[in-house]
Amino acid sequence: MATVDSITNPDQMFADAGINLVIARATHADAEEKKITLSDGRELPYDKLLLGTGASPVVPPIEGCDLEGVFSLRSAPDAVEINNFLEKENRRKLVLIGAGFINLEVATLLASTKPDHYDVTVIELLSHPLPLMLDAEMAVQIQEYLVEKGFKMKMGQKVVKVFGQNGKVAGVELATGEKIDAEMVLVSIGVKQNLELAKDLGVEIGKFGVKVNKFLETSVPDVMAAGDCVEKQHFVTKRPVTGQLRGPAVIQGRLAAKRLAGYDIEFPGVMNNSAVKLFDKSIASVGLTEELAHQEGFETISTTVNSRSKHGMIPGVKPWTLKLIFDKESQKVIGGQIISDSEAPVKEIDTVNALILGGKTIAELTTLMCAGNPDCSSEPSLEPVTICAEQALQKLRA
Amino acid sequence: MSAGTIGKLLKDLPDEDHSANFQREVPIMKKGDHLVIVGMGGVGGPAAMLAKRLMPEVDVTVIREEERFIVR
Ligand SMILES: Cc1cc2nc3c(=O)[nH]c(=O)nc-3n(C[C@H](O)[C@H](O)[C@H](O)COP(=O)(O)OP(=O)(O)OC[C@H]3O[C@@H](n4cnc5c(N)ncnc54)[C@H](O)[C@@H]3O)c2cc1C
Repeated sequence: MATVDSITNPDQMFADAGINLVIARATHADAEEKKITLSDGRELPYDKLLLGTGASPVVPPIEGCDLEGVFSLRSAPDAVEINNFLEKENRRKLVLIGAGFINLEVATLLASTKPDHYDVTVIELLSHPLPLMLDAEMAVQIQEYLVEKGFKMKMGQKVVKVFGQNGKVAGVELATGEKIDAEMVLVSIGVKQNLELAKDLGVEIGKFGVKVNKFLETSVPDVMAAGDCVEKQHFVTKRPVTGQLRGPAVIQGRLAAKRLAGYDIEFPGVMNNSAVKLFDKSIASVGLTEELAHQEGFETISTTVNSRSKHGMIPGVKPWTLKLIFDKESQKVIGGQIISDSEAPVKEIDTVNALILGGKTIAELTTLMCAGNPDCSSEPSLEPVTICAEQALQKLRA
Repeated sequence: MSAGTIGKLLKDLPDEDHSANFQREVPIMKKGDHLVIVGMGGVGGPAAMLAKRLMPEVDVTVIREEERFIVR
């Protein structure tokens, strides 16, 4: 497993760039005096302030979540603590509450590191794994794959209690009354924005975090905010969403810097661009799932096409599947999902991302021409974006 | 394809826009101004590096709570 040192940036990078780095907690922010107070008592004046305070894991109000051996994961020290806890008494029985990408990635990583060692149970309230990324019929492939790998997948189940023995976790109880033994429980059911400083400053806060305009400015002059702590707008629905992913955080951070340097570039909104690797399956999604599109009032057309990573005769060819979702009224593409047996095709989701951003329609997608070569793409006749679009054309006529 | 159809296809989905609308002048930071960034995860690190590159004369400070900065 990677060490903390190998995945962290040396602070020297910032010093070399002439950036002052302060390692302390900011305990208070004052918009009138334009200053930040630190945990060591220092005060830092600002002319412009950028809040990038992120979010923290939600701990559900379930009895027993405070027992030793119940974890959530946000930071590198959390990962080290989890690993040490498992190693210490050679613990084997893992229960993961939530089947989002963080929990599934942790479970597959642990299972790959020590094959046949862990007994993994994943419990999810919704009907299928990766519910924010995949529709049910796509997710079921992943569910079956994880079951083949030895995971127990308990979907559509609610944990009502975590129980313990001598202060340590011993298992969880489901709403059905079923009890599952556990030596460690990992809870990943979402995150909540870190808003303490935002509240000090008196900035307007929405349902999903600090409210910002398209230039990431808050309601308080000279205070900007970005990333997980900020409420975003969905590019397709234009409605407020959380958008708590790396892409929006990094792009918003850099956009804020450009704004302060006088550039006039608007943030376009988010599309939940996500990717995850579970054992040998690479999965990605963008835009609305079909389920979410229906909840948002869209009438949809969707098509799913199987393709391959190389031309059929090339050694190492692997299958992959693309699902595209279209709004029936405007005929624009509004979402895409990929499941692939190799890593490269999964980045085709960025093509779908660009097509959504460009407002492209079914008809326009039928003429998309892609770079091709026997070693690194399917045959042109199996290029799945165009085929999905052609099938959607036919469904429109039906 | 008629202009009407094209217009329909180009129509935004749906047209309601819920974004906040705080009106601001384009801010340009001046020499010696202090930019303070709280947080050094996905937002803070990249924001600090680019801010310093675009505005070398501005004093940039990043505050973070944890010992180390994770590449994300
Ligand atoms: C285990 C895990 C895996 C993930 N994997 C992916 C992935 O594969 N792809 C993806 O798109 N997203 C992923 N994410 C989500 C992604 O990491 C976040 O969306 C992103 O880091 C958000 O960036 P941020 O700057 O808003 O917040 P963070 O990266 O959380 O940074 C917040 C920073 O603020 C600091 N801070 C907060 N309050 C204070 C204070 N009062 N004083 C001082 N410092 C403060 C913290 O110390 C921290 O440095 C993952 C998240 C987790 C937890």
